[in-house]
Amino acid sequence: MPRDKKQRVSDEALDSIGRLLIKSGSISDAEVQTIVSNPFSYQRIRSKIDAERVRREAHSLTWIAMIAAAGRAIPAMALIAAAAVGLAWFSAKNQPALKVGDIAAISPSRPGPLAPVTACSISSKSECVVSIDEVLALMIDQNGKELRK
Amino acid sequence: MTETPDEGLAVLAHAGNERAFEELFNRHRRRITRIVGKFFNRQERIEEIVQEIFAKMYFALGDYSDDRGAAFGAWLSRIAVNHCYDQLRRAGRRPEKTSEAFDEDQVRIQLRAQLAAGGRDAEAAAISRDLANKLLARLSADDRLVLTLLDAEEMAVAEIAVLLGWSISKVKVRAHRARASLRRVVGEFL
Repeated sequence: MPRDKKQRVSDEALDSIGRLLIKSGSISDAEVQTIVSNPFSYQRIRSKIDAERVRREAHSLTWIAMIAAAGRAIPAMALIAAAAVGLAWFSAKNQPALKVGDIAAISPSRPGPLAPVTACSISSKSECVVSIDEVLALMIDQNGKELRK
Repeated sequence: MTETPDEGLAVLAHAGNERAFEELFNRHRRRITRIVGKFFNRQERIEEIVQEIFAKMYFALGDYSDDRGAAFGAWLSRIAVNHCYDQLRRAGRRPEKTSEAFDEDQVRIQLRAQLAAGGRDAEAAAISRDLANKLLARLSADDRLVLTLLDAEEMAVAEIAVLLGWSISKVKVRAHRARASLRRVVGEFL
C-alpha cells in the first residue's frame, strides 16, 4: 500500500510537470501582439485565397474538360458500336445457310483429318446407334493397322 | 460595420463583401493567434497557420451561412483547432525545427528542479518554451491536442467534445492516455 501511495504521488508530480510543460509550450502575450500587428497579414490571406481560387478553378476546368471529352466520345463510340452491329447483321444475312455436313468443317474440336460427316454424327436417333460389335471391329482394325506400321 | 454582429458579417463576406471579411479577420485574429500559439512555437509558423485558417474560413463561409446554429466564434475556433490538429499530424512526420539544440542534461536539470518544486512554482523554475515544445513533440498529435485544450486552453471535457465532434467518453479516454504518455516522456528524463 505505501508503494501504491508513493507511485500515486509520483504520478501526481509528473502530471503537474506535464501541465507546466503544456503551459510553457504556449507563446506569450507579447509574441501574440507582435504577430497580430503584422500589417501584411491580411494581404497574405488575400493572396492565399486568390491562389486557392485559381487552383479550384483549374481543378473544375479539368473536370469540365473531361466531361466535354466524354460528351464527344460517347456518341462516337455509340456510332462505332451501331456500325459494328449493322455489319455483323448484314454479313450474317448474306451468308448461305449451313448444311448438316458443313458442321465438321467449322468444328475446331478435333485436329487432323476429318471424318466424313453424316446425319448420324449429330443425331441421337435409334438408327444412328453404333453397336458394340461395330466399335470392337473398328478398334481391332485400327490396332492391326498400327501394329503393321 | 463595427456594430454588425459576426453572423451578419459572415453572410456579407460570403456574398463577396471584402470589407466584411477584413472586419471578421480583425475581430478574430488575436484569438486565433492565441489558439495557434498553444500548439506551435515559431512565430513565422504561427503566422502562416493563422493565415491558412482565415483562408479556409473564407471558403467555408457558405457552410456557416447554411447552418447558423453555432456562434461564429465557436465555429471559427473549430476550424482553427482542426487545422492545428492537421498540422500537428504532419509535424509528427516532419518534426518542427527549434532554435536550441536538444541538451538532455539541461532537460534533466530543469525537470528535476520542477519535481523538487512540486511543479507548482512556474515562475521560480520556468521550463523554456523551446524545451517544452521539444518534449511535447514526442507526443502523438491526438495526445497533444487533448492536453493542450485541457491544460493550456483550460476547456472542460464537454467543451472539447463539442469542439472536436468527439463523444465525452472518447475525450476522457484520450485524456487518460495522453496523461500517461506525457508521464512517460517526463519520466524518461528523471
